[in-house]
Amino acid sequence: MTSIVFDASTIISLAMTNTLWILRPLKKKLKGEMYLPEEVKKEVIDRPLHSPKFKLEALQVLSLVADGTFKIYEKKETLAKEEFLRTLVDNMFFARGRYLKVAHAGEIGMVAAAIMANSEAVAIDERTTRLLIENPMQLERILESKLHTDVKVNKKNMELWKREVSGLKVVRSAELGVIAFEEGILEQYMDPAVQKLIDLPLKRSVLEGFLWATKLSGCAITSKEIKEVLRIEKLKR
Amino acid sequence: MNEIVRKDILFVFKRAIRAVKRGDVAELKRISNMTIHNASTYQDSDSITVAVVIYALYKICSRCFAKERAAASKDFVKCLENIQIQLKKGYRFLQKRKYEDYKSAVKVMFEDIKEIEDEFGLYITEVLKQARIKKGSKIYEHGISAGRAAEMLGISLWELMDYVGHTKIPEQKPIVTKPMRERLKEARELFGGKK
Repeated sequence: MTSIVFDASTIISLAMTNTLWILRPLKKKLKGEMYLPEEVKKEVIDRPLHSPKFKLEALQVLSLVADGTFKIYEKKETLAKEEFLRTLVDNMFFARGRYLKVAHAGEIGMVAAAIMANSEAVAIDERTTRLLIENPMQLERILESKLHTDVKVNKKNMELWKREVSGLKVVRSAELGVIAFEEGILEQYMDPAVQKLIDLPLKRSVLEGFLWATKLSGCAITSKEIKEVLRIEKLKR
Repeated sequence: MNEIVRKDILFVFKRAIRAVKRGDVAELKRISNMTIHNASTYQDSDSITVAVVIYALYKICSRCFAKERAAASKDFVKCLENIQIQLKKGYRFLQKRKYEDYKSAVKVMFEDIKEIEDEFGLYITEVLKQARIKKGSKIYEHGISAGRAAEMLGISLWELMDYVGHTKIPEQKPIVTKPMRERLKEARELFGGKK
């Protein structure tokens, strides 16, 4: 069965753009599970529920748990794997006489859950964890250029990590939005009555608006990639 | 305290003392980033605290001097003088490796900054929070994950993501690891959509 494990960053981007709801119809298309690891749940539900600023967003995420869109992935099932992965990541990049802690326990836990659940993909909007999965050497280059120092890679740990995450796909909220667009899930924004009110091509505006909204909410997507999506979708100005 | 961290904080304090004396706001902003490399590498509270406190100081000074409302106020000058005294104390304690005394001086500095809020009606608590978010985004820019950066700065991931979305961080090279066409193909396969 297909499954996707969600990181807090993707949920935050969708919540802040008021588009969390697309996950319900997307789940039906997925014909599988959308998992929310316990650590991620803490970040996107438990903590914001007790702060006034993001309480409403937390409640929106909670409603996705309540209606079964998200299934909670229990930490006890991932503990051993998480510890192993954490050791690898915490001992991968060496600079100025010490290993750099580049990732958070929740992010490592999310990857561990994906491995344990045999998931096809993880949904991540933040850059570092995505690079760790897709191309950790690129992360090494960023660290090196930004820290202005030599960063040495523990090749053994990097290889072990790469083996663990091999085959794991990464989707961002941006890709989820494109699929929602292609599957007609965003049709509700394309009312002909609305088109009459604006000079802009509505279809293109909806997708462009979605992608920019997620970008401005923290999704690590470049403006060049957004243009590329609009080209691929053959949406004229 | 790590020796590199100590030396860098001494360097920052020395320049901050001069900058506050001269009212050099741009310099304060510049030096607030000087401990970020250390904060990203050593992930120590001292480097993080210094980055936050100097950035907050920059914000206060830029607001007050820009509006010229407090620039001439004796009370504001007095508050700034108090901060300067703490900067000098902190510098001396750190030079002598009196770490507890140094930490107390930094703590008083935070209190002095908060006092400015009461005196001048500035939302300094908000300034300090913004300083944390700003420095969290800098650490994220240095390659540390958003979750870890938020944890280090004691801010929520929600606030950090909201902030980084409005920065140039996602535009920085080299971060495109896969062509968009391939990403979409993979996503479509997941959801059984068009090939």
